[in-house]
Amino acid sequence: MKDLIVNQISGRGLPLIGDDIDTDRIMPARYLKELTFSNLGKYVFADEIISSEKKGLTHPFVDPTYQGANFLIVNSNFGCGSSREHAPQGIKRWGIDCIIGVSFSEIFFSNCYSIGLPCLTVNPELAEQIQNIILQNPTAGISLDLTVGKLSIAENLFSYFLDPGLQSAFTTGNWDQTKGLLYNEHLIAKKRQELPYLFSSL
Amino acid sequence: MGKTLYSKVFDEHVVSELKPGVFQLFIGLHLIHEVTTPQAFAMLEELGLKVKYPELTFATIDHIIPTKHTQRPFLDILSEDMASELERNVKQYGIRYFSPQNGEQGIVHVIGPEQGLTQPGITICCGDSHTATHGAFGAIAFGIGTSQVRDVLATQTLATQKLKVRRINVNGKLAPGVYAKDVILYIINKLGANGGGGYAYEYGGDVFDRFTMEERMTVCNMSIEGSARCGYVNPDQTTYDFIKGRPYAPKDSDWDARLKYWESIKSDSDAIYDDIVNYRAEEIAPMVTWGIGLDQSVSITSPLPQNPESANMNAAGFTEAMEYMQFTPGEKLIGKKIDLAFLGSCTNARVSDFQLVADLISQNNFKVAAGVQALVVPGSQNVKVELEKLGILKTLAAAGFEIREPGCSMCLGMNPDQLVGDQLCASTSNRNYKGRMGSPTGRTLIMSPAMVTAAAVTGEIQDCRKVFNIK
Ligand code: SF4
Repeated sequence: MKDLIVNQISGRGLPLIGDDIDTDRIMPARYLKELTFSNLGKYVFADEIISSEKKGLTHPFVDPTYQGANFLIVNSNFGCGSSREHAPQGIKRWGIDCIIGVSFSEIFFSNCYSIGLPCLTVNPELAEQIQNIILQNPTAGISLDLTVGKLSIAENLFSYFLDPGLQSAFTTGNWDQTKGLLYNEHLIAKKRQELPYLFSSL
Repeated sequence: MGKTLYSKVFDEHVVSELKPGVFQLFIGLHLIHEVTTPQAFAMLEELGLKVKYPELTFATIDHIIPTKHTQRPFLDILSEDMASELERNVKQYGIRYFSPQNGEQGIVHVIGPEQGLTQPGITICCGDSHTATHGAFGAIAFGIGTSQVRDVLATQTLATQKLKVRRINVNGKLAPGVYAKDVILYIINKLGANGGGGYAYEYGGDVFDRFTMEERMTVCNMSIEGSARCGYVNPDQTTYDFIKGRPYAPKDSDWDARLKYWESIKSDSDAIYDDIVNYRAEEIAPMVTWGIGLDQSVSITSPLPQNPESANMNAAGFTEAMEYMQFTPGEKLIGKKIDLAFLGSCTNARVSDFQLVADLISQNNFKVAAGVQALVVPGSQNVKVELEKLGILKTLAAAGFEIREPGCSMCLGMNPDQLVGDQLCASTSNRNYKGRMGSPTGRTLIMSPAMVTAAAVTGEIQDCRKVFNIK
């Protein structure tokens, strides 16, 4: 359980600007053919990186300035679209420990939770403000203490929202749900008996 | 105080409250496909766990399967590995597999209803965001990630919060040439791609009462494009007639008992909703998306938005979408040359969809326009057999459509059917995201099967009502 505890995170930020960034962009479909998640860190935003290059731009995920960053700062409806867990898996394996944004798609949010990656929500102005701080000062230190609910960026405190239940699940290492679900084995069997329908394979 | 179907079915399946507001929900039907499950089975093995109720999980293969060269081993090694891995897992755990070999394969969201597995009042999960399709039958159906697939395999339950419910009424009568696809594109346009966050959508009103099951499925399918994790329609006689006689439908005396349950879980007439919106069917025209999000759409008769404000977008997002699509603000879509027409996907690849296409083209002997590749990809092997029987495939082939084997095909770039470069594709699928069809610069316009057919035969974006004289 101990290695599952997510309480204090500190490091630097990576601003990724734009609403409605979907999981097809985060992890293009062709990389979903891998049978394990282990290599996915290499493919995050693969196509966006190439199209940025073509325009003579550097995508934040390959910008040397942000290498080593572990807080990802996004805008609204991040991770919409496909349910592919490959998207948060890739982001996590790239090195991100926490995502801060205005809003997240529900499936993406719950996928992040399932892999121990906290997504904090902030209001739209704040998200932009944080992105701007980092754009101006990429080495600005960010630290998050989930045990007391404190987020500080470049020495300033910011307020964020994370459901208290989820927050404590992270800090106690209880976000890994399988164990809790298995625990209620007798209740599951009972529910199965009670349901007014049941399939059996033909 | 009345309850909604969502609330009744959810409560019926709660095993326990894990912590305040987080419920352990029993999943009555678990559907799986090859892409989002190998890692889940691996995790299961790592944890030393078994599949708890293998008889409640059903598998098929759809995303990576080629639609042209279908012989094994697949030409693409990674796809072959993925297929073998699925086969190994279903065998090891004793999971029923609707396979190409036994003629039951297809897109997972086409298979469930086709087999009679998708029924009112049940909970359905699949590692796929378009699981909402099954809500058309009055089920609570939603997509999950791979870690949750692991949880469902191991415990037949998952941890989830209860959604709010928004009732969406569409009353009145749809004009000729306006279809279910236009209805959902219209709803997403009005409520926004982000508008359904935290909600389940309950669709109702005259239009839904009259809709066939196929039409209801088309609408529910795209709930997630409006950010609603699940969408549903209350069951009625249309639902029951569709289910009756299918392989997994209740039989004989079971039928009556089940029917009682189905009737009991309908939303009460005095049900309390968290939100209600009302639309008039008469206001809906054929819709086309023009951008890289599903709310970036216009009715075919309107020009593209002039500016971010009229598109209800921020400036950066508006410019990005216009640039990616190579469109100019304010211009008309009518007359834009297309490279490909794609008729398929879990949104619109059922018999009735292709029947409509065949009817439209045979009235005037229309042919696929020169220079256009038009793909017809049935949703399942059973759909294909039926189309064959009805003579539809013959009609379509004679008109120049390329008939393929069932699968997800062009809908996403995981199999050989992909756009090349910045090709423009008129598509009946559900996503127009950047790179969705396999080419990082490929462009997708989402529309109804009738609109795609109009594009296929004219070689450009046109109003289906004009092309086919639909009155
Ligand atoms: S047809 Fe498209 S949307 Fe439907 S399941 Fe396949 S890939 Fe997903």
